[in-house]
Amino acid sequence: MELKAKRLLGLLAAGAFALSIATGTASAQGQPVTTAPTKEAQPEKKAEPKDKTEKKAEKAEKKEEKKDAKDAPKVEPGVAAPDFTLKDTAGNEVTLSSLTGQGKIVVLEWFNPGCPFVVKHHELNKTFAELNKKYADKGVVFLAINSGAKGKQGFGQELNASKKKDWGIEYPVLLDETGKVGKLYNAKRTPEMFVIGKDGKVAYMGAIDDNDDSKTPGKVNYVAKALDEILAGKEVTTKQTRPYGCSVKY
Amino acid sequence: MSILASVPGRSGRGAWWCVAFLSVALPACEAQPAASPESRRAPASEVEARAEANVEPNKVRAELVLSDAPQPGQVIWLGVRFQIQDEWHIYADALNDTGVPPKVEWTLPEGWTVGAWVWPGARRYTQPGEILDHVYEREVTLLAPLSVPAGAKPGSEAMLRAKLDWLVCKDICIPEEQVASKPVRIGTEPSDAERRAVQRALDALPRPTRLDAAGVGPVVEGESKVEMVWTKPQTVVIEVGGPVEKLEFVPDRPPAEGGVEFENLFERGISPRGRLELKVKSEAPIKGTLGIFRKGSPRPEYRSVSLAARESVEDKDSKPASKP
Repeated sequence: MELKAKRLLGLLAAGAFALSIATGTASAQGQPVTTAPTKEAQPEKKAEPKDKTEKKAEKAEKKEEKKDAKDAPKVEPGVAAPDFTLKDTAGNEVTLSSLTGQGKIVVLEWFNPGCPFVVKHHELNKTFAELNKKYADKGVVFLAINSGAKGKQGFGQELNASKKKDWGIEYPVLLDETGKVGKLYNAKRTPEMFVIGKDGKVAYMGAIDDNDDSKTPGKVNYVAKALDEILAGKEVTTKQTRPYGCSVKY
Repeated sequence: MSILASVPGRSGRGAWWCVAFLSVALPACEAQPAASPESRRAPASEVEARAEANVEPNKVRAELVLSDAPQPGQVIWLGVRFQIQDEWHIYADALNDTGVPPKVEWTLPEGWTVGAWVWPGARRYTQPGEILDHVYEREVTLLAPLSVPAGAKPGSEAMLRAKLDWLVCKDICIPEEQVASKPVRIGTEPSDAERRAVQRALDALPRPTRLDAAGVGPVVEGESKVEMVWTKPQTVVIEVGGPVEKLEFVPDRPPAEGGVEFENLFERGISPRGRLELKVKSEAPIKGTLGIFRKGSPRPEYRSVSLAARESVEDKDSKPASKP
């Protein structure tokens, strides 16, 4: 073997650098995430004496915990979906609790008409239109929410109203210009999905499907899967996945 | 070829990329046949999207580069050098809130094979809403080991071709695609510019760090001392020796199933000192890259670290038990 190859081999072996022949295109981003139970930190045994830096770090930690405690409870599967009221592109108010109060299942879709991944599911593919069509008469209400701030991509009543029309979105597009509702749900991407059961609790949250490509839809639509299970009176099997998309333009 | 076969792959990440061979088309790749120039035209909507954003030309330009002259039976680095317009970024293969890393489909002459990309250390990129991503700006070269067939004739030519797509973002995101081709001649040295691009990428690759049973990395000249331990349930502390200006931890992209959920990595993943305390929602193994920034150093030191799952509680709160 020649020197160059040896050098390279050394590098490769040392780093265990990737050399696997790829065997598929499955996306890691759209795959189910196992949701570890969020148990309380277990009581900690007294450790050895702490030095100053550790104490400082502890202080900082306490401060942070305080700050966190002030914030709203974290949205995760099984917890009550935070209530909100927002206006849609036509100026009509929509309140989550009044929908769940009527026994509706509600699907929230974080939305930005300028995001390629939103374009993927509204224009290149009719993912959302088809979902809405399939479930609208089964007591499921879809709501798109745009949490983009003024001056950012996808902002504005007019633009959103015209995209709603162009793309044939037959459900409300809600304008959350302050980003308050987005932050309440800790929504970070568009699209990011939440399925809220009749009990008002989050039944599913995460990606729309299992392909993070900017054009090709996935094989598994997680929202459809969750809705089918809820409607069949079953427990939702995939409660949380890793969403993919653009950032919400807060 | 034997070199390629003997090196363990990082299956979790490697499998993500569809590496196509002309001679042995992998089943998973067949769904995306190599496009002919005619079929490579962007769909109308994308053209519209670009026109709307007034961004006709690509923000990123990709070219193929080699580390060495290809010689029969050898393995060299084949790099894709991405040159990115100022203010824009592309995504690293790491735990990111948004975006997707570039993807490649290779078309190589019979007998040539290419492995998966290795990823240089990336930069933290944050946005309002505690959105945290890890990105490359200006320039990055993603390297993959290229195996030259043993029977390649000196002086003969081969065409290497990469069909690439990536998402490029600043305040907005644009999906872009490009085909990068490169004719290479057996025995012909690459240009200095190519070598330099490869070298920059090699310099930024995380150095593997083998932690011992106590979570302490080996002391290697020119490298920082790294320690990483479970200090209590769901808590991992990383410490780096010497004065540090900034320390960052970038978790690997989670595997297809499972994966560790980090609590508030937005704040906990970065420190102005040589110490990080990570909070996780499980006791599962933790893998990622440390970025160690020191005053006067031209670039950060990148170290890949991997911490085994925390074994069951009880007597392990203060010290990890040593293993035989």
